[in-house]
Amino acid sequence: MKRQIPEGTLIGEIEAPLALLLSHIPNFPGAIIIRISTGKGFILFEYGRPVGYSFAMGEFVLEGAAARRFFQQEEVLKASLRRYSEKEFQEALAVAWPNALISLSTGQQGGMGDSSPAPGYRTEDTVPGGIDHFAVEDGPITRTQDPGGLASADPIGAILDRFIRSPGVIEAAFFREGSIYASRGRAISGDMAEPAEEILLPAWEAMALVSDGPLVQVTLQLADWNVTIAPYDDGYLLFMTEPGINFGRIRRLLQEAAGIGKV
Amino acid sequence: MPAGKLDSYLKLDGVLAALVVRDGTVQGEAGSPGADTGMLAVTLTLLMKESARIAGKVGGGRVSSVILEFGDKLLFVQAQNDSQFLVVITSPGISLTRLYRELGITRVNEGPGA
Repeated sequence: MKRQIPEGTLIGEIEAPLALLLSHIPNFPGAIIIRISTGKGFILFEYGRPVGYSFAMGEFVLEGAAARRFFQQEEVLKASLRRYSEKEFQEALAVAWPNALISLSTGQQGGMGDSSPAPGYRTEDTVPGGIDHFAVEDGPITRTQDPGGLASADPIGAILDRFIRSPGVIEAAFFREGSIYASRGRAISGDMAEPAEEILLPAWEAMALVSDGPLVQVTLQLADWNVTIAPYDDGYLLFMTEPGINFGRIRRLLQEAAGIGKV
Repeated sequence: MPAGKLDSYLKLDGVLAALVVRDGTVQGEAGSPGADTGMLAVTLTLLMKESARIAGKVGGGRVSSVILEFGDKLLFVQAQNDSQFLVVITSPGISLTRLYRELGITRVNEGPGA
């Protein structure tokens, strides 16, 4: 029985054609799990470009370019975006090796099976402008110097501490996979993570429709305060601010978060 | 909303498109949204419903607007009533203070640089 690739961390789900999925490949290692009526497969990617394809229909398995062509023929793919740690990515590569792989940055390439690119299909340029698509450095949020010397072994804690000390911030938290992992200020209820993740699904869908850039933030402006959700590392920052806070300040907080722990 | 009103938004620096959505369907649009506006209307309707759910969780009152900021675009979704909202698609980095002013939206203490 063929081994499965790791589950990784769920980032989001979307239904879209292959071209749209490939045009939004994130700038980290991971996999897009594909489900269609006839079976299940995956697109393995690293830092903005796909490196492997596989699709299984019962005992019958398509790998490499053959799987990619199969995905291309499908009008819509039900896709689940997963982020991998380096260890998980290496495990996934081992599962995919050699036939599912089409291109690796290390120069490795699966030499067996149908792994050559289809005519007119350049593996290095599969993603138009795809490198760094999801990198925060590409958007209005730019990497900054560590604003308060806060870079530490606990960058999430440092970010939340920075946020909660900022005027107008009521509470701040970091969540992933439906759970609050850390919070500051007035305790954010643990059951906030689930609706916060659910609002990200239409946000990702809107992004796929109108944008080639990364999701930088979602801010809800409510009568009594604002709620901002922003991707960070393998999860999301969630913070609530007073209604009168300048939106530019929210942007600056996120700029600082991008700098903390990464300088 | 009169079509001329939506067209007038396009004169604002950084505004790429504007549309009005009611009950999940596009009632009017202007500019170049760069997307299937029918699908966008459905997606943003879901977004507003999920936003209302979060508002209910945190007890922050009703949702007045939602801002989606991407690397190359910003979507400003302004609730007009329970079933209708205005969507303004802009280039990134636009000043929301100026956008609010141009759209006639009053936000408390919105200072420069927003």
